[in-house]
Amino acid sequence: MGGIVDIWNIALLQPLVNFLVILSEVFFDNFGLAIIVLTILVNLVLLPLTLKQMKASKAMAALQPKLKQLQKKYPGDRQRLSQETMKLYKEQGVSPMGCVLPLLLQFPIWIALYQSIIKTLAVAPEELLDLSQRLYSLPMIHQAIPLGSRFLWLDLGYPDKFYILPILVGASMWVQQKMTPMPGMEDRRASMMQWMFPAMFMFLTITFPSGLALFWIASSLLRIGMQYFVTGWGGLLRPAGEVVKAKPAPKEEAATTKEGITPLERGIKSEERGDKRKDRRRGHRPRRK
Amino acid sequence: MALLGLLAFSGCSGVAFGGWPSPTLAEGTVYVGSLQGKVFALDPAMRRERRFFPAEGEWVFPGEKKEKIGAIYGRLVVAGGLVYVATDERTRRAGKVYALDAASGALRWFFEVGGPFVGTPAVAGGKVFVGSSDGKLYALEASTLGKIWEYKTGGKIWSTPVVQGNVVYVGSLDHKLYALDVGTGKPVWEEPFEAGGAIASTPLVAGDVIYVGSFDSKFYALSAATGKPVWPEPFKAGNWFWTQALLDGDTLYVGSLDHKVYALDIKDGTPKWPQPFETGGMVKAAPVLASGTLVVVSGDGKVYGLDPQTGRAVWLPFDIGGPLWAQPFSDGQTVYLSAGDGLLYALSGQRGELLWSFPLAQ
Repeated sequence: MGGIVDIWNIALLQPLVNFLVILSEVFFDNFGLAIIVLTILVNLVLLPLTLKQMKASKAMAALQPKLKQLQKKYPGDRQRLSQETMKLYKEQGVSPMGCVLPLLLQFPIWIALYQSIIKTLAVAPEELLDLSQRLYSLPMIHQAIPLGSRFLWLDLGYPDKFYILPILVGASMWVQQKMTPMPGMEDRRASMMQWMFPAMFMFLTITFPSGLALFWIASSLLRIGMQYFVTGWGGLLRPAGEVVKAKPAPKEEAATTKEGITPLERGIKSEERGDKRKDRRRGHRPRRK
Repeated sequence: MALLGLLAFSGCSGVAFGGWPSPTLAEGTVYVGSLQGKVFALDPAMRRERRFFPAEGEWVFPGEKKEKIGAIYGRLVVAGGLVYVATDERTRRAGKVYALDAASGALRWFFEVGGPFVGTPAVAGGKVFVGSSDGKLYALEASTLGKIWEYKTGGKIWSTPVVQGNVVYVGSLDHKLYALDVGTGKPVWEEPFEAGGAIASTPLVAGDVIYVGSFDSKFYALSAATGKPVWPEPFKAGNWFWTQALLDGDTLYVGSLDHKVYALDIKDGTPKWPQPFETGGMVKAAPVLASGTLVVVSGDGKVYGLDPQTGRAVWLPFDIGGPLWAQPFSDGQTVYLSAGDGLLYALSGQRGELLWSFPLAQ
């Protein structure tokens, strides 16, 4: 366990802490600007992963009607449903892991970034002692300590006493959640998630240092921009319950054929034809839907 | 949910900090703050005999079990029958100085400002001087805690002010050391001394020289009259200086956050020991002398006894376990120290043996 903690500290946390201090020094001893710039830079580094995850989520969302069709078709046969679902994924070049894996890979970076902000803020004397052991031996870094904690109307080491930040955190997270497709989730659950997370972070912001809230707002705004780039306004402008429709375009998603149907639709149709043939052989009539 | 767990795990849950309260001995009574926001007056003889607390003459403030004051980072100062306590009321972004009756622990006066107090108040000439995280040094009436003057620096003041004659010296996290007139609060030097890093350590004034360390990892000797450097070069350690130095004869003993304790020649800052003494943690508190032994406390939770001449250990370290950030107090033979485990310890300076301990979490 100690080894993992050491690796975490040396490989992730310490570089981020020192980089934050340098950024603060470069940006006019303004730690608020340093937090925003670092959030942008980390997002840029993670952009390929983020876009991959967003595109995968979008493709998964577009696949939902077909998945529902399969569920209706094989109500009691879990094994067959699973086989057909995997077949569908394969045909469409979509993988549920495509949504989750990039997110999992980004998760440690986000946690390290969050921790680095807390460590660098060092409001209490104990925290400043701890910070002294994490800094590289560069005079520029040590000169910058303690960092200027003033930003706009905020003292970044304390919660916002005017409660403006909690509202901004809640609003930006709600917009981000609303724009994000939630494939495979019931409408009711998806709707609950869209409210629950922003509300939770809004309450956290009331008690947490505003430096963290600034990081959350900057992250949410950047993700809103990226999400818009991938899916447009998505669920933000769509009434609740409406199904996500795939935009024609990316080749791996849903290129249309001569007949004007997507490979996805073709796959389902050919499956249906195959099933009808099988049913006829077995002497069954296909059920009307 | 996982993220919430991590947020809680990372220690950012808004819980107040315990501080590092340092004990002091005055007129046979040990005064010390606790990590739970209480102030204790203890009779060492009663504690050694493990009598029921409070014995006669002992008290705790606030007396009500549920009441508490903010975190105490400094030493309690006893003067004129009053005990002065400076606190960090972080949840309210405030700092408070309390004046308690030394005999009974009753609250006499308090003074509150909009920035936590981290250093120790200094009492001299009927005035209390205390620096706050709001960047100001306050001069207060010792008898009533009424404000006489204030002086604003460019950063938080976490250093303890030191009074010598008509001048009060105080360091600030704005990298500067200020010399102010005790009567008016006006600067005495043409320019404050500026180091390459923040000054959280308490200056040591000896004769006409001031010794102070900084977060630039340098230890300076300055002229008390002008604030100009006295040594050809400051002494350089491997990490910040946060502690006051101890002067004994012509040797300065000072610890650094690089885990080491140095013995420096007072004339030019050259090291006197063949090599510095290395502990297993940051040395945040100044060493003390007890029974001829240099007693050093470290963030590794150990108390070390060294030969002041050679820097070699004279007894096996006394292992407390919890980090030791608070300044120990020596009465010449016994060392009193409050530890991160919430206990007050009394150790023999000669052998490093435990004489008694007392749980401050009452």
